[in-house]
Amino acid sequence: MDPECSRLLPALCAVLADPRQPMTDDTCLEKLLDWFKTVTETESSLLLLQENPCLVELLSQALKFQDVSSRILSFSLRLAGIFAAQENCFQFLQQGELLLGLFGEAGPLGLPAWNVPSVRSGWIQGLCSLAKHPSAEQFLVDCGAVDTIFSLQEDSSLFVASAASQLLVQVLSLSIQGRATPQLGSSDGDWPSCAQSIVGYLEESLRSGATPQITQALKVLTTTFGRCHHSWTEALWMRLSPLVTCLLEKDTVPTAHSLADLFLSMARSPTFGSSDCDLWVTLAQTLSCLSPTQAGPLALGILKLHVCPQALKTQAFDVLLQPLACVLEAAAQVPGSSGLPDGTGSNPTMADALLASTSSCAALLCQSLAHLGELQALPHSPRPWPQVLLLEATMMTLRFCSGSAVPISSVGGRLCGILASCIRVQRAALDFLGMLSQGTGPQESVTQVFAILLEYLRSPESSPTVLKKAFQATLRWLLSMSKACGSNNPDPHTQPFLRELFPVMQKRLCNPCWEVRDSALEFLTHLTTHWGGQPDFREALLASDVPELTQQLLQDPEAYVRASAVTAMGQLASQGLHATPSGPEHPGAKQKSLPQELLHILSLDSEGFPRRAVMQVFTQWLQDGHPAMAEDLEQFMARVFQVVSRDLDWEVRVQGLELARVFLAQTLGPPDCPYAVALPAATPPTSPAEVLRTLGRVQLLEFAFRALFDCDRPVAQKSCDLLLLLRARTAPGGGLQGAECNPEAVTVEAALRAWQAGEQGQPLGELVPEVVVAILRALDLEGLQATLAESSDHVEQSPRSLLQDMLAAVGALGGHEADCY
Amino acid sequence: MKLYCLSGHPTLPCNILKFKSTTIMLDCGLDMTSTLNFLPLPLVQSPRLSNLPSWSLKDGNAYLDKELKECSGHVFVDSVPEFCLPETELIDMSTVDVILISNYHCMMALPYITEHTGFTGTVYATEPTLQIGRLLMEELVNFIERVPKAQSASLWKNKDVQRLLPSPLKDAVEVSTWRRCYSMQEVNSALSKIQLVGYSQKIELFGAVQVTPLSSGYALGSSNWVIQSHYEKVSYVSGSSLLTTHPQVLYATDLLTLKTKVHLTQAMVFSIASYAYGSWTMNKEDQRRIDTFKLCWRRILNTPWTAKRMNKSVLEEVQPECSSEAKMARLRLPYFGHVVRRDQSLEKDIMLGRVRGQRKRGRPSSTWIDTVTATMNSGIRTIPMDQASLKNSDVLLLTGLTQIPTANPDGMVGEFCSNLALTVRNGGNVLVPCYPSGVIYDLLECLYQYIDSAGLSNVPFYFISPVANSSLEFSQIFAEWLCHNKQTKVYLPEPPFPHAELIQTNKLKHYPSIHGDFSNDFRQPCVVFTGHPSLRFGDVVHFLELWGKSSLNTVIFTEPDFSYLDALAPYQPLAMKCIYCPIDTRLNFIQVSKLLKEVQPLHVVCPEQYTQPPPTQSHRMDLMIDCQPPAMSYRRAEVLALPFKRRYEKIEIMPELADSLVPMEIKPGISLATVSAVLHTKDNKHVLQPPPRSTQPTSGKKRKRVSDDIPDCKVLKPLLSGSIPVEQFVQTLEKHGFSDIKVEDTAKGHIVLLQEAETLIQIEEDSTHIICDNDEMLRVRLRDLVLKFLQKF
Repeated sequence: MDPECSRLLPALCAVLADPRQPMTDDTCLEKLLDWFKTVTETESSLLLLQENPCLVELLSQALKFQDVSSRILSFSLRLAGIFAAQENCFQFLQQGELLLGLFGEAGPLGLPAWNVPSVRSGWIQGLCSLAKHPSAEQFLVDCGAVDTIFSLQEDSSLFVASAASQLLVQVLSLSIQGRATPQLGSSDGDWPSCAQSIVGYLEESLRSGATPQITQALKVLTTTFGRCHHSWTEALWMRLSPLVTCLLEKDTVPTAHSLADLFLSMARSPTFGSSDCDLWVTLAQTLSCLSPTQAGPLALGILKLHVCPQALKTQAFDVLLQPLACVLEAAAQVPGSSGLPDGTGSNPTMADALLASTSSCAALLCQSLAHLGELQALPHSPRPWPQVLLLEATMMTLRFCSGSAVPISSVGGRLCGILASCIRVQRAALDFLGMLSQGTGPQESVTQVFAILLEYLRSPESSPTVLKKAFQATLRWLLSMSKACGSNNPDPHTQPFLRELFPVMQKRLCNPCWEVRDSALEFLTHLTTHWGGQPDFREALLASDVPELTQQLLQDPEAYVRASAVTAMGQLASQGLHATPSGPEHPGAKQKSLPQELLHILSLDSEGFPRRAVMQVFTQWLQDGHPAMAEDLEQFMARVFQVVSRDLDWEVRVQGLELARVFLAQTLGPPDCPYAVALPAATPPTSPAEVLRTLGRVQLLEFAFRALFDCDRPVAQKSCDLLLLLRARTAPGGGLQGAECNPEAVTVEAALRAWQAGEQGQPLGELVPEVVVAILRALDLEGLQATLAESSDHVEQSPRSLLQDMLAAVGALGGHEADCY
Repeated sequence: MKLYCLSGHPTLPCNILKFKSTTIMLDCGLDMTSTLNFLPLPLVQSPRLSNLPSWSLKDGNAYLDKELKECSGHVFVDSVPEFCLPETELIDMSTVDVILISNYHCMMALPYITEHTGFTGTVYATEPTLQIGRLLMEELVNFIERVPKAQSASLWKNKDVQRLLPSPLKDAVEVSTWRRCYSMQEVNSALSKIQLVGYSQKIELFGAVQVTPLSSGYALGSSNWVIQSHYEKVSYVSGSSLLTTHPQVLYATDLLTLKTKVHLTQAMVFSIASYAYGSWTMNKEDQRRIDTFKLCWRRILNTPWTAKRMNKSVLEEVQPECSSEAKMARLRLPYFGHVVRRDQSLEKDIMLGRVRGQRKRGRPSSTWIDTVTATMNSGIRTIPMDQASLKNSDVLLLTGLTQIPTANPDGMVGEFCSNLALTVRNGGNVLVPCYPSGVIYDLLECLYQYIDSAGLSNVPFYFISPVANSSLEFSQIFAEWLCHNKQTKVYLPEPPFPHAELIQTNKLKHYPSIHGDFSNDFRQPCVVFTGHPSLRFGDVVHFLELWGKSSLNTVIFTEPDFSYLDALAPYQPLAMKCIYCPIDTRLNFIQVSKLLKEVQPLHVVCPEQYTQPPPTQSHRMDLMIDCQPPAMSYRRAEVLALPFKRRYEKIEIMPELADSLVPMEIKPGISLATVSAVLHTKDNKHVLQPPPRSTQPTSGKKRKRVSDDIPDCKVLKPLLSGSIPVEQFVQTLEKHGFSDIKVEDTAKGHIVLLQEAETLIQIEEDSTHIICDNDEMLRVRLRDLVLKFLQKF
């Protein structure tokens, strides 16, 4: 422990123990506990207590329960637990009867303070930390803690109850693992007495028939099987399994979620997964007797298992497919003709569950779609994956939602009414439809997918969130189509779709709802990024008004839309799809080139998002060597750096430095890497002085130096990295010495020092290469980098600071009291 | 109770309710779809229309040549358009006592009913309904009268001829009763019979029933009506909308003590709690807290939570002067003005969120200025629908639901704006056929926010109607008919509807007609709002003729009353783009089922169209009214007997008579008194008066069923009460010589069996039966024995 901390500790302990100075902020206490925990992980607790007797003092102070506040009591209980986790320290504390006093029956149990949940919680957590070694087990039995833990299982506070069951699991595993006898039978005699009482308690709870008690017992079992993978867990299950399976035989399973959790936790445990116990039979039975909504999560869990019989997986998959199968069945012309595989057929319970109410129907469908979506992402998704069936069912769901399905059966009619314009289901189904794009489907299905996507994109009924999902799904399908048939081969489906798509896009870009405009622009950006080179796409895009509309949206009143428009325009321009501004509606307006227009946004826009977007576009352009940037690059860059250095948004400034980095890298040329393949006919390497002169002309150096002392850490860090790179390439090793020999460098350094002190004033003026090199050498960039790398609160987070803060807070409190009188 | 259905149109109803000796006409809608069978009336000579070929019968008979013209396969009557009137043969109009109008669209047939039918009653409507209704009528008369047409076709109406005509004409109903438009004189006379009412005002009709208009949330001044007597309640719901959400608490309390409490609370609690209300930034959590705080009224009223009263009912009982939302808005807006007017101040920077610095990524959290914007811009227009007052109705008459239940108005407004912008950008013109009031305010409000962002600031908007000026002005005046948000604006220098600003900045111009000033200012591309939505008369005819040939132009239909395909039929072939964006804020079926669940009427009556899915979407079982018991449906010219019987009548007892009553408690909590009196009935009021002194005082009679009997002078048997102790009864029987008595216990009481006499006495808690065959003497003896045990009264 830090000697400074040891010095502060007695005072703090005195303050904590003093009931007249209540500690108002219990987050400090939590931090203190965390600190002790880390200290005891590396140091001996016994030593710690011996060196700091004030701590023992504090703990024994807590025994005088009457005048200790519940906060301090809870804190002391937890602290004692942390110390007693080491066996020698446990013995030490036991000698003073301290632990028995704190946790035993004479402790806080009978006191009014016990009514405070935090005290009960502290008691449990203390024991939890303590129960690590065999001597602790005997202690627990001696102080009668187990019975108290049982009673805490049904505590009114959920935190306490949950912690109590964790503790129960720990005690159980401690008591069994402490024994040498690994063989445990079903008779009581084989079990250690402590474990025996716990198991007995569990048995009683499971038999009780009361839902909360059964749930608690199941939770304890779930945790046990999840944590302990020893053979005794199997024996435990042998004893309890008849009681648990009994629960499944009731008409409505009361604790379905807990049961599902329990079985899944068992299935994941190596003890059960490998052995040939009847777990799989039980799981199959559970799947068939749970209601559709309850069975869903269990089925998903089963399908995610690594080790599992194939038959069970098939059954679980059928459970997930059933709601969709039911939708297909409802839409089928002739009952039974939906082309479902065997066993997937809808059953009456499923139809009832679907038709019960709008909310239950939506919940079931959304759950099923979400689970199937999760499955598809898994590497070992069930085989065979019914791609066609899922595609059709999803499209049918979407048709039901939009009201375009014309069902014949009565179930279909009712489903249509229930699902009509249900936004939740629409979103889930569109998400899933997008995921299905990874698989392939027959030609006609794909045509139908595009038809339904178009219907959603076109419909004025689609809410903005649904529309966004529709755009995302469309993008995924378009990309997967182009991937499937190679980039140069235009796909026969997408061609007509694109012709229809752009008029819809036009309308969406004019929508009064900004979310719609925004998602349409994002979609356009993605589409252009991936497809910008395709001739069909270019043709369809240029034939529409979309580029002009996008350019117009640069003036949108909503900042998000402006930002998206900037990104979209940047992408369009880098693909050469940018329309020349010659609209008939602005005949008088001054014609500005796109870079000029973006620069205008950068300098004048009041919101940060569009400005950030502009910087990203510029960086992208510079990287790609966009022609608009190439002409008169230096002057343009100078303007950009000038504007950016004064921006108020630190993210814009960071982006500016990123642009500077790209520019610098391009100016410097490829590094002199010995393994790099030399480019034929590369431009002759420019001399460092020439580079520095260029950088000075484009104002990059001034911007970078200014950013070095930025009040926002990321900016300074970025600038530091940039200058380090520059120094490594232009002023390696020795050469010019110190700045003091150059009078100009002295003035520049003075200016820098003024900036560092917070003055913003004077510009640097013309920077001569020699001066720059001198300054680069003179600046302690490495030191600066190290300082910046430390988080700003590294001082504030030290334990010493914590202790000081706590003392100061108490002192300040006293001061206020004095003021009052 | 009977309902006479005079109109079959579901949204333009006209029904007559006979209820408790009053005859009430509910709405007076005019079905204008009949005009779709006529040729348009062009304002400017149209060569295309005048050169249309005549249509002749298949047998070559040409006597209909002058009356019928053919255009793209459809046949139209070349005559002054005529309207299909409500059924007038079903009932004598002179017997109608009152007409209740629910909104301005549903009063267009009023002149036909009030003039020349012998009607002598009163018409009730709210002020905006009257004024805007007048505008609509004025526009209609003006449209038709300014294009005089000599010809009035009548030959085709002959039943034998009509049978031979092609489809829409052949199927038209009751063409013989179709009438030409009324004159302005008739309009004025009809409107002079209207008596103005305010929301929740109670109107007594002949002492028998009370009618009350309630806000329905659909349009300015639109109302639903509650018609009730003491024990019966009929609700008439017509054209309601739930798109408004802020409840308005009405002010009409009589309880002084409570009022004092309320004043005290407002002065001492709320004034502190609402300190600097104007500067608060509201998010959902704050709103929830304020809502909770407002309910400190529960404490004041001593309402325990176990009473399970809704917050709304608590607020209704307290009726604070104004809701805290309105108060907040009232404080917020002036404060905003105060802040904005300052030149440069820290306060301004802070309140407007102009402080420099960074913030987290993601959506900005809401700021004060957002709250201000929300207050100013909320699309809510009218006072919200009053649902609570419709509760416990015996009969709910439901009309005026949305015709296109699948279209949500928000999506349609979006569609409208996008299409408008696309057309104008491409250099085309946009034509919006609309009524001069109603949806146009919504469209202008939406466009006001939209045009700048869409780059349409330079595009002129024209509103052409003979009543355009009055319509735009009226909507600014009816402050008390607007929702709170808008109401607060009426008292600020700035107008509540943004179209005033559109006019000030010259973006929106209005003209009475295409003749005159308009032709000088006219500039293309432009957006024109004009009537009539049927496209048969009005300035819209001219624009369709003018722009119809170019595919750059677009016509956007926003009024749901007319089928747009039928409306466009005489203009075919048409190159112009047509967009159908019906904007209808009336209740849809989901909202109706919620409303019915909340209001829980005993019976629902609605037009037959609402009891089955629409013919084009027959599988949509959700697009119909679904309630238990099933709704009763009506169609044109049908008379419904409502399954609803009078059960109780309220009777007053004169004070002196009441004083003379001597109640006797027969059971804890139940007292009885005998009363002898004379029942006077006049003007549907029933009064019990002391009997004239001359007659012998009678011994009294049951108070129950008092209304049914005329006081009879027979000596009445005394009332008896009490229970029979079985053991004592058996002893008495034995004393009176009955032997061989057996007592059996049953679930409800006892059976005493006299085996010798073959007689049963069945004693239960609330009845005693003596069952003996053919021995009347024995029965009477037994009866007297039984009665001895009861207490006389």
